[in-house]
Amino acid sequence: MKLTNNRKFFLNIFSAVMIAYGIAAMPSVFAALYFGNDRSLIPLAIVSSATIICGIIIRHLYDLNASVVRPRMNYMAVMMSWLASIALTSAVFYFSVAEFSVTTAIFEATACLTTTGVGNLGIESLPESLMLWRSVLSWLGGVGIILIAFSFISGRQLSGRALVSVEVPGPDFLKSTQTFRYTYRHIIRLYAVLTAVHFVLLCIAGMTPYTSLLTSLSNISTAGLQHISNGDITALPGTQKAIIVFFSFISSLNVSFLLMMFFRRSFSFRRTSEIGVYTLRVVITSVVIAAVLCFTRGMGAASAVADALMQTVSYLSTSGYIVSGSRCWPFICELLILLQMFVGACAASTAGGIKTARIQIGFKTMRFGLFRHVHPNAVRPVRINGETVKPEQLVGTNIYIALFMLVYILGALLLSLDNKNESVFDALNYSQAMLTNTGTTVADMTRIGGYSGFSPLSQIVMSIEMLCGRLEIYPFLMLFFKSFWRTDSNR
Amino acid sequence: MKKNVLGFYGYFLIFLAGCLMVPLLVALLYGENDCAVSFLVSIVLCALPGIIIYSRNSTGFQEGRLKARYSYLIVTSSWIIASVAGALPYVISGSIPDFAEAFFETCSGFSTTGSTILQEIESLPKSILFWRCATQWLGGMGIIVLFVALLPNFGIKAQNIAGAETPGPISSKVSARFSETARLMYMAYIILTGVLVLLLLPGGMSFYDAVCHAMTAMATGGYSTYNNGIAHFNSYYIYWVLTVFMFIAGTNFNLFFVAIQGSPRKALADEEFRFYLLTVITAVALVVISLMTEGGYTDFGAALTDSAFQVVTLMSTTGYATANYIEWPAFAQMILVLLMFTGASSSSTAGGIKEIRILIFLRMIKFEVKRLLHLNIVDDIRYNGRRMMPETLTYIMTFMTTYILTLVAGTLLISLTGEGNLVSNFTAVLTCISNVGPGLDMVGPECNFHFYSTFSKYVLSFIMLAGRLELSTFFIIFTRYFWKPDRV
Repeated sequence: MKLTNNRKFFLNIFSAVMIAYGIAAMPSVFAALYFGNDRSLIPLAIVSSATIICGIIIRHLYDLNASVVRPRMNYMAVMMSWLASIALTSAVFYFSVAEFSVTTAIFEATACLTTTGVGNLGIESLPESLMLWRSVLSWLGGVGIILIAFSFISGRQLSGRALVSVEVPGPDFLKSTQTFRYTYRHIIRLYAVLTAVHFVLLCIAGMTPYTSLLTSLSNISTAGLQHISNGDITALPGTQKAIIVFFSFISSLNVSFLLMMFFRRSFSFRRTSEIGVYTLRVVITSVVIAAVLCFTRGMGAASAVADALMQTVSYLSTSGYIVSGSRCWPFICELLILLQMFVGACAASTAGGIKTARIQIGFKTMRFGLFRHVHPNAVRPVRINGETVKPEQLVGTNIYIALFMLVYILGALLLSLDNKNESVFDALNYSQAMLTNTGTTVADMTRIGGYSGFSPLSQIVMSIEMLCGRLEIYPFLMLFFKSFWRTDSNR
Repeated sequence: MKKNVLGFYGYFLIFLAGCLMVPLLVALLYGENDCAVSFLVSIVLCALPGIIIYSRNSTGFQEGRLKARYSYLIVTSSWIIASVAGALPYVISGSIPDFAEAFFETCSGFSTTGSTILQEIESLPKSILFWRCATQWLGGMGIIVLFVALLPNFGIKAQNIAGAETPGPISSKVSARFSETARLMYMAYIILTGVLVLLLLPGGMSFYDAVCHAMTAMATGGYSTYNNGIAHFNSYYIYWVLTVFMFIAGTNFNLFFVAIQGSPRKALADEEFRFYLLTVITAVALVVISLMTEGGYTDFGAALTDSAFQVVTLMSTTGYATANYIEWPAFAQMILVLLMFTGASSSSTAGGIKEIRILIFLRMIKFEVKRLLHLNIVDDIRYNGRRMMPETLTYIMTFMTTYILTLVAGTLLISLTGEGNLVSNFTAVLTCISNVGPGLDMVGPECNFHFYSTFSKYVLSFIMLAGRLELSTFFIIFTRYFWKPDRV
């Protein structure tokens, strides 16, 4: 059969994703054998072997060398790979856990892959192999399935930058001069090294190897540590908490910055203003919260700062685990964190949210607008990191900010139909937790199996929101455009 | 330059004194002598400095001498002056002894917000309540627009000033001279208010109540003379008359002239109007369904009346109270919150983001998706068949971002002093920035803003003014660009 260029490209990516997915499922298969989780063994084994075999067969049957494709194929490949991964994962969950309905399984699968990291059930109810599967999936989703799948695509078949930029969140204003192939290999290597270091450090700090593995996998992807008493890590020793918080902070930084730090050893701070702004946000938020806690709750300065800093990092990196008793904080502290959750961390990190770089541009646009009122004819570009922001980029960024809020409110509107949400506030909170991929709402920070009991409609809405948050809305919106499905349509 | 601005202020103060004459007459009519004295004192306090400043600066006005950017300063500072002057009668008469509260009440009046700090409304003297409603009527169409319509030129281009005051991204003229446009707009405004008064009378309102409510309805303000607002009258006739007129007040006033000048079809084909109508109908339908299924309503008529009234009152940013919607299902409440964001049409008396911006924003999203799919696409965004300039699009997005950031900053500021809770504070700022009136939870339709600290009251007052002046007009005078224009 003769394939068109577009189809070749699509199958090339898709089969690579399937192989990557299958290989990622292998450790969980062995875990199921080791821990004797009979019920989850068969679905996991079937999905793992089937995806690998299908991927290999497709790659053998067809010649998938495609060079030039239309931009829409990038979105198509990414969206379809994600949807397929979600579908396969939910199948595994559906057949492995007796309590799961179809929508619950979809919700659970989306939550893992989008690094939201929430579950319908408490930790006690899930078998060990599935806990590992969840952590592996969030690592996969956090770093990017497509990015990882590139390891299976041989040769110089295509330029993947445009493709990967669909999946990697945020406007990236840090241009690295390396070739793309060089970059993506380094990205994977970087995250692997970080995870390994994280794992070793946790083991040294006294955590069991199995828990450390799950923790490092899900923490590097800013998923929130659901395997430790549902994300409530208050009871852990101080050193372990410090390690966890440190690594969530690292993984919420822009990956280009990390690459430059680790591999090139030279970078200029002038070109990385986003990191500076993000760090400043973390510091200011923690200091304000610590001050409020000192004055209103009479806490000691050291413990207040530690608590505030840890909790701030947890939410700003959109991980969403609970480090301290923040549920009894004064509401100004809650508000500070809640508002910053929208912003999230840096672009091109594993975190969710609008991203610091966009908000920087938002502020600059606001200033620019005021400036233009005074000097209507002035020609003055908006700059970030010393580079001019193009007009369409400027408008595009602002559209994204407003679009994010629109999806947030529409999501809350649909969630408010659910009887579980008693007030508007609940609906808004859940919508925010889903869209920013944090998973935990600020209002009630501790819950056991907090996401059980939602109606099927809400679970679907939440899944869509999580996916929108992870892939930055547009790929999902495109599903409703004719020109996404047909090349010759312009509508 | 300085002379022109000062002269303007002087004349404006005299004009405000003139406005205060009307409630003085009401006070005399109802025999409220204490109030009459307080109005008289306020008039003197406005008129004296006004006359002094004006007489010292009255010579040497020249058309076009002032740079365009000064119109922002003039408009913003005039609104603040008006709010301070308007608060005088409340403080002097002792109706609202605290100045911060009186200032809040006046800002809420002039900006047509309708949020109140009064816990007990009915016990206030009639003339004071009349002044409360009159501030909304004056603020609705724009104090400066009225001023420009009535008065000679001050060397300031009237259109610049009105452009800074009139809501909406695109200001249009219906006649060649701007002062003529302003006069026509006010004519329409006055006629509609008059018609509403006549229609309200048969519903069992007294003449005084009818005038007060007609003024606040046409201005999309929302002040009432009763504690429980419009629910006091408990008459479907009044509910529906007000619903229709609030809807009219939320439409673009220019459309009336388009319709009168012989093309009603063209007016109906206006894209913003259609979108406005569509939003209202959809929202009413959804709220009715929500009320009938979950809200405990059994009578369809009651559900329809309540939802239509609340949808229109919140969307036109009026904010009258008939039903206590904080007891409605969460879904219905969410819809109402959404409507508080959108507001009604541009060039109307309503606040909020405005339908035209939402409409163009939705088109921009569509365009953005197309741009991502076809990298080199050449296309443009059209509104009413006309191509939108990139400039206008940038301004619209700037407005949206500024709106969101102001909302966030305001919520943080009023939370600093620790009153309220998240929902109350967020909706309080939302309702103020969109000039609606009531919010949710502790600032719901049957509650008031009394519990906020003095600091929060000032913050909310300025947010109301900023919202009324479409943010940039207000914020611009606080930037260094404005004061040091030569520095870039």
